[in-house]
Amino acid sequence: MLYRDRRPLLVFLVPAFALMLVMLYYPFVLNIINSMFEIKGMAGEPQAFIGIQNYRDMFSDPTMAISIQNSLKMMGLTVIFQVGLALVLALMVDSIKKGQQFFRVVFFFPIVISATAIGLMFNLFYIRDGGMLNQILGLFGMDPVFWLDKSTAFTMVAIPVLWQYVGFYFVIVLTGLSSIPEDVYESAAIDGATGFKKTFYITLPLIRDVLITCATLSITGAIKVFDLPAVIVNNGKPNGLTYFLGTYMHNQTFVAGNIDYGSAIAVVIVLLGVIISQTVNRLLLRVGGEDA
Amino acid sequence: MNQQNVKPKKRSGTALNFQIPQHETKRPKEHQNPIGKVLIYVALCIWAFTTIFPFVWVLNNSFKDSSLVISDSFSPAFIERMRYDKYGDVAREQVLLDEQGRLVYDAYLMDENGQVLMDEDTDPPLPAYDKVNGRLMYDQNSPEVVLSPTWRNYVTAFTNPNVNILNGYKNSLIISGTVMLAVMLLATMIAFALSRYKFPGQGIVRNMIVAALMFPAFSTIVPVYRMVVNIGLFDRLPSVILVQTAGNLAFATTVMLGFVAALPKELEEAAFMEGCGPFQVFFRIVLPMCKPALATVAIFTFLWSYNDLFVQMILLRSKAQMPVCAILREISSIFGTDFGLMAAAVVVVVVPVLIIYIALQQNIIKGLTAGAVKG
Repeated sequence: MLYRDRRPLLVFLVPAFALMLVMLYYPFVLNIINSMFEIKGMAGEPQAFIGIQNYRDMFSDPTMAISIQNSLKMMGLTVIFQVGLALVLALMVDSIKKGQQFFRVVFFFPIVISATAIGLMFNLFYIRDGGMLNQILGLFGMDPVFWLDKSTAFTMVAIPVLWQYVGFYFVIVLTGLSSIPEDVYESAAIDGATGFKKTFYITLPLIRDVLITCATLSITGAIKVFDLPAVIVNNGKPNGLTYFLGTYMHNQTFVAGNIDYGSAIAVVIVLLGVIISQTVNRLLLRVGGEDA
Repeated sequence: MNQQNVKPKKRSGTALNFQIPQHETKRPKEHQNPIGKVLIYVALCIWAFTTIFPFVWVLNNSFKDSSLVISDSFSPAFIERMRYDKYGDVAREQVLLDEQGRLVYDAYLMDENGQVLMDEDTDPPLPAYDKVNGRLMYDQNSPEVVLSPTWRNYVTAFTNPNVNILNGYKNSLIISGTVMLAVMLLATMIAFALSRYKFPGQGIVRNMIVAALMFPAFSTIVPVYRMVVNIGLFDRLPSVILVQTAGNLAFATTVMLGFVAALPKELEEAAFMEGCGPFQVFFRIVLPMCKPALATVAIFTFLWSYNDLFVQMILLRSKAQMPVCAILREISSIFGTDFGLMAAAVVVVVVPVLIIYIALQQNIIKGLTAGAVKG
């Protein structure tokens, strides 16, 4: 009765939904269209229709290849290290009595800090002359290392990216663990499952859904990586070797002025994110399904 | 109404496929061998060390002179260190004032050709050098050069003419505060509309909101930028507010949907019988009952907005409009080689967030486990 009159929807739904349409859906669709037109300059109107030319160009763009490669590597690393480490830490914290709350608060802490600040912090670690890491090397009488060298730059950018979000998945996994009812463990103990056996045959299958969620989230997160590489290795230094899809899109659009090409990269980011996360999701569901 | 009773609808095959535990009971732990237990604590402490130590290191170095940061970044900053000249005297600073009457710390003595004179033995250059007598020159009344502990980095961070951090705080507060309030209200409204009303296209609206979770800022920024320029909002705070509000709505609405749908409808019906209209029901009954979920939405929205560099960086150009994160990036491009100052700038940006986190960490972590999940 109360909700039969639909006129209040004009207030409850229309403004908010209109905002989403105007600020998310309209630009999203426009961006896809833009990627198929030639656009000169940020203020320039779309000119000639060039179809999928921008997408074809990507195959002959070595920097694009590097960006895709780096972003894919990042996805793999996040699943292995973020979710993997989060799982190990969560299993350990779940098994202890004292200090659970402490570890939760401390592990989660880097997530609330802006990636900009973390990036600058890691810059201070990596400085060649007198950075923290080289001072440590100095203590052991070793020569200073150029940490953002061609061969190491990707790893050095990946470390803070991975490190920052471990706590996020840790908290999710830990919640999953604490929701397993105790009687499951009791009956497992009666059947003789303890220690690692218990973990592998009882715990992991029970939190399978949570782990799949974490994997999906970490993949979609990895493809959006922007702030840390933008601060630590500005413009893909050295030699564009550390471009990720996000930073390369930003470079092409706002630095190089290739608006249409940048738009096409943005479309690729969305497509890759959806396709890979969905594929991994399905695969994991199937693998897990056979175990259970 | 307890936070942990929130249970969003389970959707298979999406990023939201995440079930909320109904309870979080502490179960009795089984007996473990003491060595294993010690190892576990050691491993956990090692990770805790990696999350705490970097910030302690930065805090420590923010109280040191840049030259001390690069020579000895591990010594505690509260130990007093002075700079000495080559005769073993404590170096004094040549204090000069610029035309605006501000202190100039890095004024070097020049020779008649305008070359900066330096002490060959010391690096970086010392403030002033008397070439004739081979001795540092300074006014005996000028302050001694303290390498640590010093507040100088903070003084520079807050008083330098290039960037205004206090103004950045103000901008951040306006942007993130408005975004937070707007998202809280709008998301609850959508959730209320979708869970209480029946209307054609309801399923489409719902799906569109979930799908919007998959839009990264990259995929909308160019058209958004042009729109903002066209309506004259470029380089003005409302542009970021609008974009961030829309960007955070999808997530907030998914959290609120689960919560509002689970609220008991009896109260609303009773209020209706008493003569309340839908707006009174919403503002007097539904909104107050949503407090726990709103707390989660508020915290995450605020943090994401405060920390979101990408949108700030592209929609705001002039320094007077920049929020804290953009200011931080600006500082790093101007003073990138002053490592003491960089450390202080990082601390200045992190501290407000740290305070919010410590005060509300219970809500943040609980909220996260209540399905507040975003990539």
